Amino acid sequence: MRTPYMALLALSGVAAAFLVHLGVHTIDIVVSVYTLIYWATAPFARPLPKPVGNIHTAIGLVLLAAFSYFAALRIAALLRP
Amino acid sequence: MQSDIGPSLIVLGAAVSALGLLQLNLAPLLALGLAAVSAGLLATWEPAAREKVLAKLCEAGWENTSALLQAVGAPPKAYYIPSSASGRPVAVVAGERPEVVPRDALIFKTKAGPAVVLATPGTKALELCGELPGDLAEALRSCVVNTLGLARSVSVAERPDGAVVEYGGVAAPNLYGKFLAKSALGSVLASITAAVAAELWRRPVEIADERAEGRRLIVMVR
Repeated sequence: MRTPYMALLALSGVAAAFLVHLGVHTIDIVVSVYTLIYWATAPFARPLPKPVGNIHTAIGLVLLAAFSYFAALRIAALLRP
Repeated sequence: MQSDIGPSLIVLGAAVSALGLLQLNLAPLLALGLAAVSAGLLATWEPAAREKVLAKLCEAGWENTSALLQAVGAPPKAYYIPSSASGRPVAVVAGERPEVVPRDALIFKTKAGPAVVLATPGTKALELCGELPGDLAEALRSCVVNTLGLARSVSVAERPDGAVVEYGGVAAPNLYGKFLAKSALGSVLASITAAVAAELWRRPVEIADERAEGRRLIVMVR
């Protein structure tokens, strides 16, 4: 398996262990951290041939959408009177 | 083994993600689960996609070879020659079985017309496989199944005039598309079979017939 995928797995494992150590129980923080790791390793995984490149982008966009949703909920909670 | 890593990671990632979602104090495991699923998805499809691109790029060589065969006017029939007769394992596309193949020749004349000397997938397979056992079945198992990983199983029925080779779980790429080179040289597995048989039998070998049935391939060489 290629190094960027192994880096993605290793970094996610380290992040998961650290979040368990901190006692984080909310999904939004976990998904946001994973989204950051995913896009940080993305440039190293590319170039990818077309169908696989599209899958890679699609996964990243879904993660970004989830991150945006959770961020919007947090901002709405702050702005709510 | 390599092709099983992707699906294994997907299953493992799905299980870890489910654990992270269901067990609230283990929610951070979701990050690890998502990483395993996405790495598994990419690892599953990337090798096949790259192989497809490479095969398409290499088609140019076979397109040129087919044009050469047409230009020379050689009939689409190849005889696989052992390295003991021609210096290296090659195929000669000619109207009749060549008696002698001049060393280092690219094109030579026979009684039935011009003959073209070609390197084939079988030539390259023999380079990759190195030393082979003396028995055809053992040699094909060692080369095609264990070294090249192009089929899951192979069985050989030897006949007085040749052999019938049956492959199971074929995973060989189609290198030639629908070019003339395919009808001359046979499919990738047929070419490797003929080249290995020629090396072991130390005589020219031709592909008498080949038939695909799902993921099974039956090749008759003589």
